[in-house]
Amino acid sequence: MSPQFVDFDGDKQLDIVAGTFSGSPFVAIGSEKGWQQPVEIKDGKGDRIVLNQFWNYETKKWDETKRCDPEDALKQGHGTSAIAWDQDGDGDLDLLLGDYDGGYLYLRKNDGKPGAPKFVGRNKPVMVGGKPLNVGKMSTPRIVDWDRDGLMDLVCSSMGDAYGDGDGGGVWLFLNTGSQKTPFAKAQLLIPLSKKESKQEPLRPDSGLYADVADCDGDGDLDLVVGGYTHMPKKGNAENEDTRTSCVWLYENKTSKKGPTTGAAKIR
Amino acid sequence: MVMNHKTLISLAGGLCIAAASPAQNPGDTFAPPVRLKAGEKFVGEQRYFPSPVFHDMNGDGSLDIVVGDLVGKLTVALRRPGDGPIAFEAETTLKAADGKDLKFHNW
Repeated sequence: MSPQFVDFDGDKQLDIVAGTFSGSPFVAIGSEKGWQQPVEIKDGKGDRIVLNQFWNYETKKWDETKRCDPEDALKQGHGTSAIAWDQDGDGDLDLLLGDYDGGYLYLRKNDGKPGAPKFVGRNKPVMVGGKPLNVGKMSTPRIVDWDRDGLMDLVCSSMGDAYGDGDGGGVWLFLNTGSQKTPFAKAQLLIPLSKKESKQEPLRPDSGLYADVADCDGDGDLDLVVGGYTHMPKKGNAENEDTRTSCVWLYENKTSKKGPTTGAAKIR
Repeated sequence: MVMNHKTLISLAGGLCIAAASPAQNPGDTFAPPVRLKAGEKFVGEQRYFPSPVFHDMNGDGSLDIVVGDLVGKLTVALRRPGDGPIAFEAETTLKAADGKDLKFHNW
């Protein structure tokens, strides 16, 4: 899951939006008394919002559908992360859905009004340089004004190979171009793909990278906090030995920058 | 041409286009990563796919860390006050208004 604090229903109280491994996004509505238990975010017709694969709560089995496919369908997708933000600038919150399986990022447009969402029935791939954005097994997208130009940029992190010996995950930055047609520029790597090189002590998060962005040390630049697994060498001969250890890491930004960076610029 | 941060980012984007794969972002450099501690444990230790998000949970002006995971549980690690190294209090489970653990659905 990828929790996001955001005023989803427009009542001035922060709600919590999160994608889940079930394949659908949920929201915990906030109030002065706290958060309600999460409920599924549905589209304008009351249908589940999914990519392709989803957990069917009725049959209690994994299921799939093409109901929400874009016109030019991509590889089968599994939506496990979600954030709400106004991508098309029409005043209401759309959804960005991260694809754990195919690695793409999809827009689910909101044709409703602030506080009264009416999400359309189909997903639309987010494009970069004329091609669908793809970071390979996406963990989560985040929205932040990275370069402080007043436009919200996109930070995406990836799972990498969380179960085998393949390369691990990384974190990418896509700067906002200000264009509705091609809103994001080509990727820049913030954290390179892991080669899983830890020996005695964990050196970095290798797989399952979940990143968030904020100036956590108050020095005026944006730091990264990244959850994930570190893959340590095997201690025994068992084939199924799980050598992964999980925790949350801080990547402190050492770039000298001037000008304020505040929490208000973090996420709408 | 006046060189500023924005210009450098823009030039970096041009370099990226020429590269076969995304280049390391030259506009920002990061210190080697460190594991964050909450109390005596590491934040997100022994969790399935810990997914952190910064948020000021207690309104003290400091960013706390909320950590989700694969099973749909959320924990909160409050930022310890002070100017020393960044540290957090031990993680506690985030409760819903009904007093039960806030739990996102899964499968």
